[in-house]
Amino acid sequence: MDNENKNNSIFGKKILIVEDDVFLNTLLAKKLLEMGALIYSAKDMDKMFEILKKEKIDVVSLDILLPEMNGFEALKKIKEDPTTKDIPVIILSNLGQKNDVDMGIKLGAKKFLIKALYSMDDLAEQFAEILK
Amino acid sequence: MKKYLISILSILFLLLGISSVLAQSTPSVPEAPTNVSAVMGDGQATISFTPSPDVDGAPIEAYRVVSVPDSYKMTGSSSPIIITGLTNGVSYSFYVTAINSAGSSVPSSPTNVIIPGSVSTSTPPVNNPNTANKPPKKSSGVRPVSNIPSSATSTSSKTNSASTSTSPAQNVSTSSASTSITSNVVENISSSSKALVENENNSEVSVSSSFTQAIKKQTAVVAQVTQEIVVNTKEYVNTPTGSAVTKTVTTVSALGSGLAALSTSFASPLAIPEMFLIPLRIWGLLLTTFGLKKRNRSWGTVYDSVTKQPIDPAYVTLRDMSGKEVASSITDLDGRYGFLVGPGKYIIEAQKTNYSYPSAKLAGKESDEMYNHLYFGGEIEVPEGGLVINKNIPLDPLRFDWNEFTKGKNKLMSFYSKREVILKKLSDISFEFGLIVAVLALLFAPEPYNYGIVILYLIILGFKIMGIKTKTFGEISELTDNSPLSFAIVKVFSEDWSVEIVKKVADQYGRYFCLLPVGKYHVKIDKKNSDETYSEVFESPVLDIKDGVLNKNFTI
Repeated sequence: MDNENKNNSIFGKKILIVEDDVFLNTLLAKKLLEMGALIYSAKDMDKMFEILKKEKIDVVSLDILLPEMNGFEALKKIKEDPTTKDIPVIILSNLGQKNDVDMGIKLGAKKFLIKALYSMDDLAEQFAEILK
Repeated sequence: MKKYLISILSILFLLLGISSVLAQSTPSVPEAPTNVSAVMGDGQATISFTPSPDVDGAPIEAYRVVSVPDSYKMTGSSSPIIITGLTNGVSYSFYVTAINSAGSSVPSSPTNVIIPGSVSTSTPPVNNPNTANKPPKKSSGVRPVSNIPSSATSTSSKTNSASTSTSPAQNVSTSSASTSITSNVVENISSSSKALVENENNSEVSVSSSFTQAIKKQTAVVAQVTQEIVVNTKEYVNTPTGSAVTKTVTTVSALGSGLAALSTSFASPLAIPEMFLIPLRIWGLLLTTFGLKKRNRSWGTVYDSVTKQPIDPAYVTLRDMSGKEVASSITDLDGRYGFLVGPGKYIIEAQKTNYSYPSAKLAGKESDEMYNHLYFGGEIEVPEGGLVINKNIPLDPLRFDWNEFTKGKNKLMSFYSKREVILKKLSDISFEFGLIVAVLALLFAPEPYNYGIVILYLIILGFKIMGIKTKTFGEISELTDNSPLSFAIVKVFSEDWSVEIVKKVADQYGRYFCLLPVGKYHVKIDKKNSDETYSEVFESPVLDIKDGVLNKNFTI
């Protein structure tokens, strides 16, 4: 790691990516890894909570449309569980209707990011902002 | 784009309007000539008749005499008309039609029957009140046996006269009436011949054997006259006037009227078949015209080559020819992406879990039923000045993709629906069929109206093949000297969320490309100063982005 990476707010942070699309998961993980983050991945609720309880995760990147679970339900459970409720969650989805965004924010998400509006660099910037 | 659509639609409706007005202002066809009679000659006949009056100020342009049998035609401007080329020894009758600018009248009652080369039977038609139903007179010279059934012709004339005096629709629909006419004729021939035999019992000519033949001949002539009248009446009812009178019956007859009637109907905008063909052709045009807009979007779409459903999130990478990544984009729910780039050569890669790229299923195709300008990994050359790369990229499905299935099931897309796929297929079929019908119509009836339709089709066909140039990007310029605001930052804020959702950096020409979800936004623009700092110089009012792309020009 170079000094530039060490100085960013992502460096050394534990980030859980909940995303069913393997390709996008890999791309995002690769970008964050390059910036010095420690990456964890999950596709279903059980795996997600297993990681959340086992590791001290700094931020969760959560998709909404998932085959194994509903992202909104997952967010609700995270915020209902006293051991995980303080972990910041960024919703990263291509859903972008007002009701979706309102729901996400109402359930406690820090940000609602529409995948298509961000490049990988932009996304990394958004993570860095949360982790400052 | 809207201007194109409005222009095309304007032309379309203008043409429709003109044809409608023309149709309404077209005078009626004339009435049939009356008191038609024929006098024989050597290989010819002289047809006399009472001229038809002018209708709606439209003068009679000509009269047409048609022989039965053989359909010899002769046209003249007034009575009498001599028709030549007849065969001596053959029985003929004739009917006359009057022609004005609106078309042809119904056929007149048939004339008396004559045999060229012989002496005219000179039995006048029933329409002549002075001579109708009078017994046949003995003519001078040799009286042929064909004189015998002349009263039959008179009778048939009477029958036909009754028929033609009713509405054309009745004529057309009465194939049984034709039979009735023939049977009446035979019946009357019998009674007339009886009278004749009584009058001619001193004749040197034995009529017994010739009589039956003569009856047969004359009956055939009468039947043919009737048939001709039916055919011509079909033509009449396909004229604007006729169609207005005989809507229902003519619809049935028009279906079986064959190419001749088809030709007539194409020439007349309001003819009954046109009632169906106009909407068909217009529908094909309209569907395709509106479809053009959807086929020529401001953006490129990554989509499933089989279902045509847009794919997300696909990762689209633009590389230069050395393989260096120039830009990348994640597609949205509608599979959309786009890159505004400078001149050069590029290639695109599109990747998505469960899909393969480039598509093998559509390889080599320029377009499919939904998308134009398909891309399969080839080199893209961007000319001087740059442009937005927005090729449509099909991907082949490798296995079931839950995300795509759920997206389609829940109808989460804004610019795509299965209904639209069906509509586009329907549009293509309608267009192709409509084009064929339009060309056929023009071939059969080279009228201005049909030229107009074909020209419209060709214009749309051109747009279909070449595509329509759409406004893909917006521009930012200085108010003072209209110079571009190079490298300005366009920050887009959602009215719904009250947050900045995306920012785009303009290129050196002040151009920016920005796809957005449908919604309301406002824009802030930061100008790049000479010391490399930025300062906010503009804030827009609320913008309603309905077509999913921010491509407005801003003057600061």
